[in-house]
Amino acid sequence: MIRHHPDINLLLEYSAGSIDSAVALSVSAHLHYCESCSEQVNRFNQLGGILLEELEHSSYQPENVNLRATPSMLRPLDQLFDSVMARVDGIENPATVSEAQASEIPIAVASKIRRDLPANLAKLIVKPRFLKWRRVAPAMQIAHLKTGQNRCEVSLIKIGAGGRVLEHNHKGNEYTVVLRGAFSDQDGIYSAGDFLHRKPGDVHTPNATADADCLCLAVVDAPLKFTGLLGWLINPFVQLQPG
Amino acid sequence: MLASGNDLPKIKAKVTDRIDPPTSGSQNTLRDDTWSQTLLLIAQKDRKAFERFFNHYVPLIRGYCLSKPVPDQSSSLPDELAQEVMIKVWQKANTFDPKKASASTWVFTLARNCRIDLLRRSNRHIAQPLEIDDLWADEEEHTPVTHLQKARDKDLIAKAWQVLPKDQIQVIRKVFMEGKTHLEAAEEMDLPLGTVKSRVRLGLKKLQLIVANRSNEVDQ
Repeated sequence: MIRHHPDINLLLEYSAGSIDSAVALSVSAHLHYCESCSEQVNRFNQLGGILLEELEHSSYQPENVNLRATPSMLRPLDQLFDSVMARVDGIENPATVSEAQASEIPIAVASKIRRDLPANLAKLIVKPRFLKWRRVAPAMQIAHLKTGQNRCEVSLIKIGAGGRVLEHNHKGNEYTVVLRGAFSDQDGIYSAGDFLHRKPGDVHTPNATADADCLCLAVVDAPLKFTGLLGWLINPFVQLQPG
Repeated sequence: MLASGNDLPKIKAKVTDRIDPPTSGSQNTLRDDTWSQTLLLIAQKDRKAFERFFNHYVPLIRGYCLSKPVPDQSSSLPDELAQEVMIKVWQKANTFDPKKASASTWVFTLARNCRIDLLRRSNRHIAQPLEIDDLWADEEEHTPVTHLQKARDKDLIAKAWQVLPKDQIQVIRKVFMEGKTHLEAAEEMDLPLGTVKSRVRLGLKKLQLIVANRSNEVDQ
């Protein structure tokens, strides 16, 4: 039972495609578990379809460009069509190799190997030996994930059963999705699929519940700041490592 | 859904008879069905159908691209995007399921993903372990048909959109079509972030776009 969801506004930004790809990773991880939010995003995509059609016959036209008369900096439609057809014929000709870089591990294979995880995360960690776990607290380890962007730090966090994590506050936004196990803080219990968004200034002390080890995806757009003396000592090890 | 299923052969016959699809905005329903049927023809590699589809959607995709400019956007980006999307349409038309999405929704998600991908490719030289479709997945593939809104619901949304208060239309356009975050929209309109967020929520609720069990969240 998923209790914690991204808010409507974040799902709308996701559907619009205006959020950072690392944040999109956390939202899509939640969607893997949550039918209700998947349906919500589908509805927003429908709104996208309506607004796309509306570009033609409403008074709203970006920069007053007349879309049907080809704007001067753009190519006539028939030319554009011919070049698209030339390209699809090229791609469909088996002698030509598609420019698209096929990723090393097909997502279907990845999700078969780690079937309990969202397929895109499975793809990122399909070779677990590449994960470098760093212990940042007695019961807490962090492994950095390379996701091909440089604005957010994306990590997996392991919290041992019964483990307690240092109190920390947030300079930036932190998006957490529980992947396995469960943890709780003063606001509630979080189990597989639950989504948390902590905003700048929030302070919380996650504390893994004793029943199971906990694995989370964390996306942070500024480094965590641990509070208290021990936190101060540990802080230098938890620096923003975008990638 | 059953009704639209029964209508399929009839509409298909219309498409094949017609040289040009209807262009009047008042025929939204038929139009969308028409484009869905056109997609099914494209799936069979019908080039004439593809050209009709192309001529209708390319100007819209350009408009979509122009409505959300990025800094230093190249003036050819709308054309690049339109070409990428149309290549995808040609290649992926066989995965289109008219029971799950309308043609315009399908094109919207392709355009959104292609645009992000184009910007990502032009801006960065970092290895990309994930495809854009891994991040903005086609959830419809995994969602049972019974959970999806049907085409007729889409017409209701379109109608509700026409009568939505102006201030709500304005923020939803900014957030959705212009690709601004709520924070950016708030700064641009000189409004508190909370006001922008609640205005958007109110608008979405009036459009009946909020999934039933989430209405509490909207009222908070």
